[in-house]
Amino acid sequence: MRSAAMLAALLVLGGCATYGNALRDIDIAVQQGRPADALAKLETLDGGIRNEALYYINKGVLLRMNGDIPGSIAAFEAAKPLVGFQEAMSISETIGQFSLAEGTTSYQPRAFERLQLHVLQALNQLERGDWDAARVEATQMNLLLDRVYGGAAPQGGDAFPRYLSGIVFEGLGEDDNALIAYRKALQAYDRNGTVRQLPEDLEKRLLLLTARFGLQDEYETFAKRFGAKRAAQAKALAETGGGELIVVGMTGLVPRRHEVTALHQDFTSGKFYRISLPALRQRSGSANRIVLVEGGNEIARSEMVEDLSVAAQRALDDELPGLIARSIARNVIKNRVANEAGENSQGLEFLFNIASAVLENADTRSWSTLPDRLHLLRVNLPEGAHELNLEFAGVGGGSIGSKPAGTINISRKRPVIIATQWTGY
Amino acid sequence: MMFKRISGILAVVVMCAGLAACGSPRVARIDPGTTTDLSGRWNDTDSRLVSEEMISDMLSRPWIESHRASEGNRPAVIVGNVRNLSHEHINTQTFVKDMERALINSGRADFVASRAERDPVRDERKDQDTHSRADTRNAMGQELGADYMLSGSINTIVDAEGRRQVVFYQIDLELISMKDNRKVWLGQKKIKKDITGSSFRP
Repeated sequence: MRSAAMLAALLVLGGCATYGNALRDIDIAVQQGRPADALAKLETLDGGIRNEALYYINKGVLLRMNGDIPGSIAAFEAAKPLVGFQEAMSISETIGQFSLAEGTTSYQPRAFERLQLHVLQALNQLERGDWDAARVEATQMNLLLDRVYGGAAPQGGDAFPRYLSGIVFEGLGEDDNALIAYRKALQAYDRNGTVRQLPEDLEKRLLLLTARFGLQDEYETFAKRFGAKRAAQAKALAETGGGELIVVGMTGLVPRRHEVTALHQDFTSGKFYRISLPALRQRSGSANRIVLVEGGNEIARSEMVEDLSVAAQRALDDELPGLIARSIARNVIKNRVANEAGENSQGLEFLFNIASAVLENADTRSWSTLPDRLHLLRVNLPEGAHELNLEFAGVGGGSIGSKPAGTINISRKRPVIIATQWTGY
Repeated sequence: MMFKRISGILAVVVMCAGLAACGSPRVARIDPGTTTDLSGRWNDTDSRLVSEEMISDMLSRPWIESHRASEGNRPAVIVGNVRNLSHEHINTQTFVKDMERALINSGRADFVASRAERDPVRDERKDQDTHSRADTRNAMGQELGADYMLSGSINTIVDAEGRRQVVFYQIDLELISMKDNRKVWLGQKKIKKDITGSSFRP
């Protein structure tokens, strides 16, 4: 009876573990530049209450890609309380994780994913011109990092969120808060940044603001570290007129989790044991650089400010010991239950063993519509209308695609922000 | 034997948790004045506390009578920017509208349409110039100018440790004279909340 109950639980909950696989069609549509199809497909999936947060964060991205910024804002706001709720531990889900299947837990975004939720929401607000709402996102990001992660994301991915916070504060004229945010961004890059090179723009901003506030010692420390050329560029920045254009480019898609399985048969007992673990699969469409073009002429080039594939790999590496331990625990528990079922019926024992093996799936859920790389470009342009184009460059520097940025009106009052996502199409 | 019992209990617990999500939603209508704190975030009770405090303070201060004495008419107020400098997305319109309503209904001050509100009105007036009968048209250039602008900010200070946080809100509003930039009224409301999140969930 108990074995039958456990078998029933396994069958019912086993379906949850394959939600990650169900998202594959959505990923393909996104990768092929069909966000409308991806969104339509997402709406047909029923991931249940355990995947509600994942539904909303994917929906937020897809709505953004479809140009529906208000819809994207609403979806991300719906995701936030669901994500926060999952900070608390669920005893039943934990028991299920150890005894039945890995995917029985509610989807809990990793640290870098939680930060990206705020980054994307901030970009949504900035594109609407609501800098105060973007400021709210910046303060929420800082609060999240301080409250949950002790000031630093464990696998990296917090440098650009801090950097973006600085941009928001600077755009609002809060240079003091901007300097604090830029300092924290520098610390994050130094500690466990996901890109090899510190963004030159961040170096300039730190030099500019420390000079502005008369923080001579700090300025000299930065000048020594970043070099005389950067210090001269920062000085020139202080004297530049016109208005500022900021382009945040998001290219490619973060590596997707897929299942790697090992199935063994114990030749003594005849029982099957299966261990399934997630692994990352890199996807195409990432650019190395974005070039801003006006009238066929290159105006500025971007810098890579975050590589989310690095954060995703680190997150998986940290999770693996726990995943392996739980998989072994589940195999042991299910084997014991199968043995007890065998006391009543050999057929039931065999059925239970097969079902357990088949339903021992890896939890491949992840926020797979996130971009792979984040790029930043900041340039001063004369006030007025500009017809701009974005060109995406690959590893060798050659163009692998382009996208019109449209007519952008530059004003001295406040920077103009464009956030664009490109997956290779 | 023990293992059988434990595994049986495990299966039942997990199935119950799975079924817990089922069932139709329950709706209970409640009085808008009821205090209900679910998440600890800014809610309708906070907005109501702010508007009650600000309205009572605004109506009891001498700026209205001073204006009447010097100008001989009711002051006209326009709503400017109430900046949200907090860590939450707060809709400032809920308490600002309550204040507008209270002031207008008191008969002691006028409110004029804000920048966002008057653009459609001006468009309509312009349209009337072209399409409406002459005796029914509303002429351009007859708008009532504001004497004071209402602006302000919401700030928060958060002290957090683990699942507990203490959130302090400070809402500051002010009336600035359009004539000479004097601040004729300053209102303030402070709210403090001690929020402890649950360590466990179903």
